[in-house]
Amino acid sequence: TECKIASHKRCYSKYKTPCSGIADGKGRHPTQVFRVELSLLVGGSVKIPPLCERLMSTIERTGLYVEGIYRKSGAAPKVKELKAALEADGENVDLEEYHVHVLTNILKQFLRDLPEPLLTYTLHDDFLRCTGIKDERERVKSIFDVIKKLPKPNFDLFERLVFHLVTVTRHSDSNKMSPNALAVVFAPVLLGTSKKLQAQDAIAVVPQQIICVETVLKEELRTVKAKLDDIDTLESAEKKTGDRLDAVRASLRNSRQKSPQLSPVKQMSLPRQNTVDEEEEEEEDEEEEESVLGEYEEEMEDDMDDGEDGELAAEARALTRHLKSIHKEKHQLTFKLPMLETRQASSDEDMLSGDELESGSVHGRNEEYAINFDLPVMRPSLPQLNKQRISGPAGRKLPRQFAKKVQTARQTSAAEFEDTSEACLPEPIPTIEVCLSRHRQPPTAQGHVYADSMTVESSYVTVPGVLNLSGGDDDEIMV
Amino acid sequence: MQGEEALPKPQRIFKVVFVGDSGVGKSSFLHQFCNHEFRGNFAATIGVDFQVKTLETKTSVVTLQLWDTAGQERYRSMTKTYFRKADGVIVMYDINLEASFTNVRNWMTSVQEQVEPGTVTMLVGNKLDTAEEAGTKAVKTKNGQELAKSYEMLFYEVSAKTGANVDDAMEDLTRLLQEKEDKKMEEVLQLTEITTKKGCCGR
Repeated sequence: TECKIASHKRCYSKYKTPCSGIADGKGRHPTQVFRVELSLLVGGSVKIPPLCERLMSTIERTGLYVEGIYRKSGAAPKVKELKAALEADGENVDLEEYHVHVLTNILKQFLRDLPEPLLTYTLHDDFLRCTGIKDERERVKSIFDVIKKLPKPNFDLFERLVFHLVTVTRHSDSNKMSPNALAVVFAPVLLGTSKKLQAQDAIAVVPQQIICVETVLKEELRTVKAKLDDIDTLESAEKKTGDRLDAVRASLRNSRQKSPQLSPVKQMSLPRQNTVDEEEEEEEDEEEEESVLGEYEEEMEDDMDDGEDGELAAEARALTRHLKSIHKEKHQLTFKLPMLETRQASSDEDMLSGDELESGSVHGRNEEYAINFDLPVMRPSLPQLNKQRISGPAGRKLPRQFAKKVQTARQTSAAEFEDTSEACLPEPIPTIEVCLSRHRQPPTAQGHVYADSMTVESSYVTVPGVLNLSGGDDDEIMV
Repeated sequence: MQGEEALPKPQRIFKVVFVGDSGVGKSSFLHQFCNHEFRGNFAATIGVDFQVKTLETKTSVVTLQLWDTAGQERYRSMTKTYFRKADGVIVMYDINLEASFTNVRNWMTSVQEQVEPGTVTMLVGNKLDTAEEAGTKAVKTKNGQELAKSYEMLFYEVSAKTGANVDDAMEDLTRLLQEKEDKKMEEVLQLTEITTKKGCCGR
């Protein structure tokens, strides 16, 4: 259908709103949120369906300590009422009026009602295959690799959801929802297959689904805890530095009163080393940060006017800078907290490349692309780049004129990529830059997975209606 | 201790299905009933669980097939299929959680859709211990009784943790199951009598 309307075949006839062209052609009631293709609920700056975001943050605010959250059901009439209200006028419903169990019910129902489960039919079998891996590290890695193949909207929502669930399970002392308990609840909600299964078979895959979700949750719980610890360390470092700064300033004031001027020679030697040493004494545990700071100072040194109070002033300045850098790093960590990634897989790089990609610097990656994925790459918007793929099998020699063209094309596109990626970085943050350069590898798979999944996604959006035709009742395991 | 031999071969087998909202304590109740212990773990049941318990009553030995279903909404469609050919259904709610009591009506609707008329049903309010200790009782005994009456169900308030009333409830259920069964048997017997009579007349 031209207007990209997405619906079940059965529901198609029920649409009352006429298609209003491609511009607005969502083909659904504007406030409808349930049983709607996920990609229609997001777009532009909206990465997660607003309803989900609101539900999750309300639950996080009010429900984290409720025993059996997500496991227990809310009162069915209330659930129905809220659902109807959300369908009618989602924005103006006060979610806090409802009990947490009702909210969790709605969230689960939303996920169950998606025309395709959040972790998609296509990847379902991949996920199940991963659960067979005995070695835990390997299993985590392969599951996360599959996750990266998710279409963008699904990935975003899944990322948020996992962070949310981790927040829930971090309070498992009070709410009793361990990662396993949550996995039992969420596995059948998130994973589903398009295959028609007998009830027995449908149950048989559930343990695997649970392992899958549980692995993700456990891993993320670990990561988030580690990140929180990092933030804690930074915070204590921040406090120490702050105290030290106060002390230095105080003594600075004192010394100013005593001797208004120090010898200028001393000023010049003003050794950076000194300050660094000082700080290393202060925070031995923060070695990484120290080295970062060292470099940071080096860059900043020249810009600063030397104060009259020599070492002390310098130290004060250094401390201020240090404080700033800690701030920044803390901020960065906080920002990264909900990111879905394995810690080993150089998190910084992963995250940045994701951002870059969004801003459209997908050119020039074709080579690695083709090497890393056996999926055919579809790139309708940039047909000329596809020609590069003619270079094909490594051994084959191309006719000369082609070979040359391909070569230049590659170079230019590679250059382009470099440029855009730089441009996309936010204003250079020295500390973080240093951090990155250590971790940074040449842009690798992770980025491409994104791009890849995006193409995949767009191709399935245009063939709606084939999925989940049986979707009459809310909750099928096919029987 | 009764050995295996002490229990003669069971004469009857009854299928009893447990339903109710997630987390009201169906599995715990069953565990208490079958093994006489409370296990505090908090894992949701997946799909369906199954236990067998043999009871000795005054007149005979019966076996109960106990089907413990998952309360999670996701499994609800599956749960429904287990009602078929059930001799007894136990609907459970959490005394401390009003929502679970409200949902009893929903459960009863799907039960009544599936089961044959004459199936024994029982309403059980669980977690009596916490209700008494913490005073968090949200559903009054009276309300439970009224609801049970309107559906012609048995009614018990129990505690799977302490075991209070668990055995009483199950014995009562078994008794009723047997009575129903006896009644049916008699009906069958009557039927044969009538047919033989007819046979007589025909000759």
